[in-house]
Order: sequence, then C-alpha cells, then structure tokens
Amino acid sequence: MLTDAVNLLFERSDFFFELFVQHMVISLISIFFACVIGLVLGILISEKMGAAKPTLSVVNFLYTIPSLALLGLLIPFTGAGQTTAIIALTAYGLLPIVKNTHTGICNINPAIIEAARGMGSTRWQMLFKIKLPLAFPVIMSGFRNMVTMTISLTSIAAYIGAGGLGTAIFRGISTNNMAMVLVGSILTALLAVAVDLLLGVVERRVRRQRSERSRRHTLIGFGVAVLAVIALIGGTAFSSMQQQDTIRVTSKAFTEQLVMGEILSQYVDENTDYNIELTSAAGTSTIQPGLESGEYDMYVEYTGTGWAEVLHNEGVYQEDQFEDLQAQYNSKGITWTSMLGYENTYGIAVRTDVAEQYNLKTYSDLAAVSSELKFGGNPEFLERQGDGYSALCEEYGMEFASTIDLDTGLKYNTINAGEVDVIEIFTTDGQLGSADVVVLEDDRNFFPSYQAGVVVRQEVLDRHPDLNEVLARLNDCLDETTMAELNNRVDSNGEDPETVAHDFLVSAGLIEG
Amino acid sequence: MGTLTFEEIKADAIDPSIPAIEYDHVSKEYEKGSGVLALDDLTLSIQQGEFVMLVGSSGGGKTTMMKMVNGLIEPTSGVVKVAGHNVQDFDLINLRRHIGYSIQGSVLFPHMSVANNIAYVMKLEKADKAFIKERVHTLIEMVGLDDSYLKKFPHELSGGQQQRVGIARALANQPRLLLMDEPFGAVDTITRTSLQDEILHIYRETGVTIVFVTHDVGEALKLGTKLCVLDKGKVEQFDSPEAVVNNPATPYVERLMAGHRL
Ligand SMILES: Nc1ncnc2c1ncn2[C@@H]1O[C@H](COP(=O)(O)OP(=O)(O)O)[C@@H](O)[C@H]1O
Ligand SMILES: [Mg+2]
Repeated sequence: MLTDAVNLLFERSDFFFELFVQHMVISLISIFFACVIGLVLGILISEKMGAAKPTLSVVNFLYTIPSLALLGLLIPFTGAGQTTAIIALTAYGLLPIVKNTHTGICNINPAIIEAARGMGSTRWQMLFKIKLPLAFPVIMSGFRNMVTMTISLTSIAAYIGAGGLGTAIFRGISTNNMAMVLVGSILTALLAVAVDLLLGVVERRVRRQRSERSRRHTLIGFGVAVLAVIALIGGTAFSSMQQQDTIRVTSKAFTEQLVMGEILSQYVDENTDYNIELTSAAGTSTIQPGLESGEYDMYVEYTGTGWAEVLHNEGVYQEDQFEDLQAQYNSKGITWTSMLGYENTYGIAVRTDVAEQYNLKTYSDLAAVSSELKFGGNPEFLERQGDGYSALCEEYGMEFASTIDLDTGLKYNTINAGEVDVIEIFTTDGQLGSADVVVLEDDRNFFPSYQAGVVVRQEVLDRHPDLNEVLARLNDCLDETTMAELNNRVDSNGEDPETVAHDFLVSAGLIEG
Repeated sequence: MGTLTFEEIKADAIDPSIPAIEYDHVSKEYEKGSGVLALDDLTLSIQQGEFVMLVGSSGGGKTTMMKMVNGLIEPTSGVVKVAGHNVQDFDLINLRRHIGYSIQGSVLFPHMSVANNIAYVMKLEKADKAFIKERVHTLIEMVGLDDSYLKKFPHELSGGQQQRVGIARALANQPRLLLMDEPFGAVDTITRTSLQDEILHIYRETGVTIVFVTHDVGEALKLGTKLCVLDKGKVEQFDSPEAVVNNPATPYVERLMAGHRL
C-alpha cells in the first residue's frame, strides 16, 4: 500500500504539486484573513470589556458548526468554490486568535499597564509597545494552533470543488483508490507539521532575541515572506481565474462523473483554443448554484436528476418530457447541448445468497422481506425527494431493518463483506459486473429516466458560439456497456480517470492520439 | 482633557512663587452616590523643591491623591493644579511625560532591556538617538549602577537593582516633579536604606519636587522635608517632620508617630 502510494506520488507529481499549491493558497489566504480579523477583534474586545462576552460567544459558536454544514450553509450565498472555502476556514480560524489575543492582553499585570499610562503613552503606543509584545507568546500559541487546524481543515474545501489536497482524498475514496487517499492525507499532514515546526523556530528566535529591534526585524521579515508567498501564489491563481477564455468544467465526485469530467475537458481542450479548468464538487446541490453564479461553465448531468433536483418538478421523469426539461433549464440560463447516449439510472441490488435464500426477482419480492434486511445507499439517495429512498419505500411498501450511509466507492465492498444486504446501484457501475450481487427488476417503473447529457451555461455558449458545434459531436458517443467498462477500469484496475478518458477519446476518434 | 502643554508653562514650572501642586477643595467619590469619599475636601499646596511624604494607613487616600497630579484620576469635585494650571486643562499625555512616575515596586517592562526601560519616555518623545544614549548612561550611573546592566533584562536583576532602574526611568525626561508611590516595595532593610540614600542624593543634586507615598513612618521622617498625614481621605496634619513628631495635631497622628523620633 505504501509503495503504491509512493509510486503514485512520483507518477503523478504534477497533479499532486498543483493540489499542494492550491492547498497552500487556500490555507494561507484563510490564515491571513483570520489573523487580521481575529487580531482586530481580539484587541477591540480587550479595550472595550463589555464587548468581550458576546464576541467570544459568536466566534465560539462559529467554531462549533460542523465544517460540512458550514460549507453547505454558505453555498446559497457565495456559491461553490474557493471563496466559500476561504470564508468558512476564516470563520474557524477566528476563535483561537480572538481568544488568545484577548486572554494575552487581559492577563498582563495591571501595574505594568498603569506604569505605561502614567508615563504618558498614547493608546496606540500602549498597544504596540506594551500590550501586544507582552501578549505575543499567548497570541503565538493560538496562531500555531490555528495554522495547523486550517491546513488540515482545508482538505474539506475539495468537497465544494475548491481544490487542494482534499481533492485527492475525495477522489481516492470515490474511486476506491486507497493509495490516492493515502498520498492526499500524508501530504496534508506533512504540510501542517512542517509549517508548525517553522513557526516554532520563528517563535523561539523572536523570544531569544534580546533587542527589540532585531526581534521586530525577524517578525517583519517573516511577515513579508509570508505575504510575498501569498501575493505570488494568489496572484497567479487569481489571474488564471480571471482569464476570460477559461472554460470551467466540473463534475460530481463519483467515478463515472470524474471520468466524464476528464472526457469533457480533454475533448474541449483538444478541439478548441480555450484554457480548461477542471474541478470536482460533491454533487448536483453544490454544482447547480455554482453554475448559476458563473463559477462553473459545464458538466455532465442526468435528465431525471435535473428534473427532480434542479427544477424541483413532481412526478417520474420520462424522456418524452425532454422539451419541457430543456425549456425550464433555459429559463435559468442553462442549456442541455448534447445527449451522450447512455443512461445511468438507479437500481437495487441484493447479495446473491440473499436473493437465493428469499427467491428475489423484483422490487415487490424484496418489499415482502425488507424488514429482515439492511440497506446501504449513498447520502444523496437516502435524502433525495421525488425518486429517493423514502419515495421508493412508500411506492413498494418497503421497510428495511436499518439503513447505512455508504460512499459510492465503498458500496460493493460493504455488501460483499455482508455488512449490508441491499444496495442502491447505478446501472453503469464498473464493479457491478464482477460483484456478487443480483440486480432486481423495477416492476412498477419507479425510477425515472436518467439520460446523461452535457449541461452548459448559456452565457458561455453565447460568448463562444463555436462550442455549440464542438459539443454537438459528443451526441451518442457512449453507451451503458462502454461506460461501465470505463468505470471498471478506474474502480477495479486502479487506473486514473485521466488516462481512461484519454484512451476512450482516442479510440472514439474524438481527439488525436 | 485640555490642550495645554508643559512646554507652554515651562516658565511657571520653575517660578518659585508658584506652588508645584495645589489641591483646592478636592473630593473623590469612586462610586457615585455611595457617599464614601476616598478624598474628603482636600486643600493644600506643595511648594517647589519640597520632598513631601504622604503617610497614613492603607486605604487612607494616598494613591488617589497622588494620581490626581498626573491626571490618572479625576477629582469628583474641586481642582488640582500643577504649576498653577488646572490638570484638566493639560494635554494629559504631554503632562505625564514631564512628570516622573514610579509606582509600587517600580514595575519595569519585562520585555524590554534596562536601556529601553530607561529610554521609554524619551522614545515616546522621539528624542534624538545619540542624546538618548548619553542620557541613559548618565542615569544608570546616577542610580548607582553601570553600563554593563543596560543590555540585561529585568528578570536578570535583583529586586533592589530593579528599583534603581525604576528610579532612573522616572527621571529620564528630566522632570521638575517626581511622583513615587511606595517605590521600594519588597526589598530587605539594607537595600531599602541604600535606595533611600540614593533618592535623597538625587533630590539634593537635581532640586526636583518629590511627592512620595509610604506607609513606613521611619522612611517618611528620614526623607521628607514635609509630611502629609492622611486618614480616611482627610489631611490630619501637613507640616515639617519636626512639627509632626513633636506636636501631633490629632490623636491619629499621635498614635502613628508613637515610638518614632527624628
Ligand atoms: N478604582 C477604585 N475604585 C473604587 N474604590 C477605590 C479605587 N481606588 C481606590 N479606592 C478606594 O479609595 C480608598 C483610598 O484608596 P487609596 O487612594 O488607594 O489609598 P492608599 O493609597 O492610601 O492605600 C480606599 O478605600 C480604596 O478602597
Ligand atoms: Mg496606595
């Protein structure tokens, strides 16, 4: 496993380096804002005692919101992506800084403050010559906590498509690639430890230096160095973000979507002059706001998902409603440009021994014995309205003994290990062919149609009309069997989505080899 | 707070006909409406060049009385004047930089070297670097130490040495007036005696007006040209050491002076 990880790191060093840089940028910018805001707040509340309690309660409250929840709450306002990640990380970073600044200043011997005041210090001189230097050790320890915490927490940013080393972790989990998870985690931990050690050295040097002047020089030097790194990395990141001709492709975070993200971005990259930026995000609910706010330009969606989850329509979607679907999407400034030719619908599978034991063929058969069985599905399915878990249970009168949240990448391992008996599957799951499961028949046509298609922001099509024709060539380029094969190469053979997508595009004649 | 600066009244500060400090019907009630007075209708004048010792039991109002001189505490009623001008008319930041101040135990700034502690006010005043260096050198010798101490930090000094540096720091900006609130806190008798000799020496050499708080009657009698005995916010007696010892004005003074001689 460890050698796999090392090999992977060297093979895909460019990929990891890019994630590493993104990780640094997001962390450093968040740390910077948390410091500035935290210090100002901490100082203000130590000068105005009455404000301390309410302010500390608020930052303490922010600190206790679970990170995924905070990201979820922010998305409607600030969209998915780096901005949201930075806001959330800044909010978390506030507590240690505000609290330690406040504690550090309040714990100064009052006689020292009194002496400084009696000798004619102004408020500012008191702050900069007496209070902050004396509170420095306490502030510094809060700062070090905050920095390590922020670097670790930045992994979560990948959940909303902001990039960073978390991308490797999420992707590794989704594609059942433990080496990838390991590399992502180890790099994150190493970064945190390295930065903490560096800060320890700076702190010790500052304390050892006898004259105020050289102490100040060390601190200023360090500050300037950090700012320079932020400016440099942030500047390049920002300018590349600002580039007008960049097309931002995204995908949800499961294997097929990662492959489709690669197919879409490599295809457009090869067939146009635009720069392509590929990200991945948790799911439709995080991508759609980003698409509407202009953070993302295109991704592959499924008709049935769009119908229920984006448009919030009632009823089971069938393909004869496509015109209606397209019209409703257009009114949101989004267009379905090409239908890829395969369907990825939901299905229900049971372990073979269970199917034989109860002689299960259809969903209705399953319903009759459901109270004996454990069900595993991904969180999106378990939560989703319309064609999600609860609607399914209602339609067929199912009542499972228990349900477990399973990540898409782990469900076949979990059912084969006997931890659950029934799982929700996709018809294009790569591992489906090799897994020891039986797919049951949807005898009441409960699940809607889920044809895959490319969804694009209309503004992008208007700005780059040539995209219409380029994307149209993707019509019917795939079918379920091909898609399942591509998925299987990633899930079971451990190939990475980039290579698999490339091979497919070449063999389909969509790009040159 | 006013805008009057010490530079503007310099002539008054050295005019011997103008008292260094005047209290005119000064009262202080810390908790409004409580009726508890930390100072109760205090009226007295301290002439230039005097070494006034404020003595009395703890809680008598000595610190309160002293802190009104540099505006750290504002009277509830009455007027406190420095060099003939109401303290409240001064730019207090400016005033404080021209009044030497040393508080209980002479707390030094622990994060600054001895040199930077002494230079603190001069640096606030943005004095010339060469001047600061020269002055710091003069001061450290004035308080009986030498240049080898300048680079040390407060925690590397003994209690007595710290208090010497505290005195040097208070004298840095060549004040005409020095306020010292129990500056020789927790030090042994021998160190205390030598610190007392040091401050007497400085007083005679510079002619600075000193207001010095102590609860040690022996110290008060040894150092002061005048004693101000305070109890419960009222002046019991304000007179020369001889007069206070020989003719106590009230039973409180008599009890306080019992067993003490000049
Ligand atoms: N900041 C303050 N708030 C309320 N009461 C105070 C304050 N400072 C002093 N006092 C009270 O005023 C009285 C005089 O105190 P102080 O001037 O410190 O006396 P001394 O210096 O003679 O010991 C005491 O009763 C003390 O408790
Ligand atoms: Mg006192």
